[in-house]
Amino acid sequence: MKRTVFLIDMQSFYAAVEKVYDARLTDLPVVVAGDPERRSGVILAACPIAKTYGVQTAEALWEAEGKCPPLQIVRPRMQLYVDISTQINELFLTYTDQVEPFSVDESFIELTGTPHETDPEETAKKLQEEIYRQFGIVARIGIGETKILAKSACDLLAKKRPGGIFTLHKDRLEHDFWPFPIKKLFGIGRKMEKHMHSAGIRTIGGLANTPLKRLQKRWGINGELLWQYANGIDPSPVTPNTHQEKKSVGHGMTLPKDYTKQADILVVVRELAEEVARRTRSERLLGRQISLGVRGTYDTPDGFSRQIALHMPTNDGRVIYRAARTLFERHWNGTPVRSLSLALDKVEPDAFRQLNLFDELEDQPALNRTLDTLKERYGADAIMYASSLTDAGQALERAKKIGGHYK
Amino acid sequence: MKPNKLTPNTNLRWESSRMILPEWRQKWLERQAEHVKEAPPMLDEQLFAEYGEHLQQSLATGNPVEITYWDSGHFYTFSGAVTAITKQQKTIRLASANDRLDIPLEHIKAVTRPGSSEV
Repeated sequence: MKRTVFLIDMQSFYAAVEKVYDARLTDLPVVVAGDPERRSGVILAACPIAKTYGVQTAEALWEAEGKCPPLQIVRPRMQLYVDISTQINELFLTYTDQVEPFSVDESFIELTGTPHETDPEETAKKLQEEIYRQFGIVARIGIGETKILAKSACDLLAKKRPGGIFTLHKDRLEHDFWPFPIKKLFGIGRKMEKHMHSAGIRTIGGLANTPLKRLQKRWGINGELLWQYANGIDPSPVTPNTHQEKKSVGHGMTLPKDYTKQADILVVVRELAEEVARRTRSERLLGRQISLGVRGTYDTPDGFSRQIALHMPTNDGRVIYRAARTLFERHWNGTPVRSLSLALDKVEPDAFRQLNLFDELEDQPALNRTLDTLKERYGADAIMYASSLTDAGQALERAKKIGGHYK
Repeated sequence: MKPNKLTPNTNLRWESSRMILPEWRQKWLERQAEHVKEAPPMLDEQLFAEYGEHLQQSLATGNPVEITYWDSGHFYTFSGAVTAITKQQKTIRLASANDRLDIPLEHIKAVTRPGSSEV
């Protein structure tokens, strides 16, 4: 059966939301940037007007200001973007129940088997209008019979066209898709691009027409995956419950400065442990393996990533902290640290617990419940370890942010 | 065999390359849960008779009752005195100090009289 899949992308999402909320910004070049007070902040989103000056997402703020002196810099409001994004996805649910959000500003929806598939481009237009009317945001829509075709149609073609809609037909790949340079293919990073070049593959079509055997031999599963993408092949279904299942609960943090003292680093490790534990509990899960990742600084890029298995599955911050601390003490070589990440892996539902004859249960469920209720009602900074109030602590600052940017 | 990115009918190829904020995910799951609809209640005759008595009494005395009722897939509660029971439409009318509500009898899940359970 021929499928109909859309990939819908919100143009300059964060910047577009800010323009909706402040009409004075409408005709000005606007960027949303990490921290406008720090010129080293990074551009999270640039509006189309700012882009005409050459401003790009992910470049440093000072660079952008150089290119575009009248630039309007807006502080991010992550909670607002999260709220609007979920509302937009709810609009998609009125078209089909097959909605798979892919990021905060992109979603796959599958219209196969719905009345909307008879004229997909007409449906896309209607959807665009509705998004604009309800949210004031411009959407671009790629259409294809697989997810990779929809995604490629959007990224490579719809975004470059006035109407913002493009259908990538399977029998038009040679004309519409294959002439693009290989780096434009979804899944090709800078490294893979180099490998491809060294193998004599320079375009998407070049990859599509390379014998599969050769690619499998050289790059294994990934080689075959990329070959499939180049040929528009993608049997993966649009998966609405894709966010339900969880394999791991992790948290990472880039520190505002280099940390050199073990005691200071452990303050942050403890904060991460508590945060991971709280999220694990809120999803009613337990995990039985701890992973700690430590990255060094620009000058001393030493780091490590290690795992340790627990005797019993847990969702208790203290138990997680103790395991993480063991890992840290075992593997840290004393060089400065700039970022830390901590994850609880091998998670399972907290429905029942296998009691252990030999180890006493270390978790303190009653205490944890109280902590969670307090934080839920009064915010993440309502209660914390006193160590977090030292200079090393990050919890207070972190409570104000989502994804490392201000709420 | 363990599924990989090439296994048909799995979504690993996309899941492994996306970035989702935990806060976004949580919000989405919460909103999704709101869409999960519950079936209307089914009461056995005995309970129905018991609740009927509470309702009659409230109608007679003007004492408030608390009603848990179903509406379009979700359950709600309302406290107030019964002001009317219409046999034809099979609804009851409740009034509190600042609100009024008609509830079809078949949507009632529970009726409690404040204080009655303690006695």
